[in-house]
Amino acid sequence: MDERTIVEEARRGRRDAFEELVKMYSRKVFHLAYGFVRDRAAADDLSQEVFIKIFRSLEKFRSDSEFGTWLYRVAVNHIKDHLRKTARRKEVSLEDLGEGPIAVADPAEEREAERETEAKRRLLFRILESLPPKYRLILTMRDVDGLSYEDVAKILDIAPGTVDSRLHRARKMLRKRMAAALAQEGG
Amino acid sequence: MRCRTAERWLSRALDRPLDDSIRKALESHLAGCAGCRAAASELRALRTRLSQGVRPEPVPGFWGRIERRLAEAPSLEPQAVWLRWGLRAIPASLAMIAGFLGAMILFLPASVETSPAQALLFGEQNPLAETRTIIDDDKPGNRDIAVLFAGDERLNGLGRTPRP
Repeated sequence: MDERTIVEEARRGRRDAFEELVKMYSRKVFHLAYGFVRDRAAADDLSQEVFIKIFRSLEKFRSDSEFGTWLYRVAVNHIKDHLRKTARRKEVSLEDLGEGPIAVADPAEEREAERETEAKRRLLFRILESLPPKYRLILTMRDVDGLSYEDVAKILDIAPGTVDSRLHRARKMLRKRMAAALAQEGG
Repeated sequence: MRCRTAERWLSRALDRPLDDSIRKALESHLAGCAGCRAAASELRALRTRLSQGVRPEPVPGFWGRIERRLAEAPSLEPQAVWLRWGLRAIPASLAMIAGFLGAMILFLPASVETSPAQALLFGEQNPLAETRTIIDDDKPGNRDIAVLFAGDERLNGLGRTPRP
């Protein structure tokens, strides 16, 4: 069965068809959510909420558009809402960036250079978390998840020119904050 | 090319190929600008690190959890359904009202037949003013004739034409 047929079946209320869609997209949605919350349990919760929302709004889905793009848009909007709600509760400052709880496979087995690279990566992701939601979102979609430039424009429903300028500002801010954090670490 | 412009093109180059003319201008700028060369390599490094970020596996049993949640609330609350349909009905009702008003404007006759009293009222004519001219006439004969013909609408329309 192709995806369009599965979606149609799910729209008619068939649970097994919806289960199929969940299996097809759950990993992608989970990774998108994880890119924002950096916490497995929270990402799992967010992903569940996204699929519940999808299930309840399947009737709104127009079959002439792509299901994956629509699902991603619902997921992004849900994550944006979540970020908006939690933004005030969790302000990440540059001072907090040094200590990172992200698990590393086994540091003892890694060489010194690899450890350093991993430390920088962790620092980078913590800085990414500190960016304003719209910059964090577009960087996660484009640079972390590797979505195509065109898909980013479609999912966020913005013009390609806006994708350009937003990505540029986001990367500039990320680079600036990263340099400041490294300078702070070094000094 | 200025550094600020070069930086913008460097970012764009990460997403899609640049036009030949822009690429050449950028390359020539980079050849002479150490700051932008450093920015270019930093941007590439950041991009690589972001794309190689740790991506944990989803928690097992995902569908089971979804299924449980769907079973807990299989459909929307009846109140929510009514609210949803109510909200959908608002634009439809507004469209019907607008259509009705439009039809009234289109199909109602332009002029409406009015009674003499309505004509006086809507024409803002004062019947007392006319009566006053009759009363003020010096000759009693003229007064009698005017009073006699004033009420005859067949002769002078509404019988309220102003006197010379």
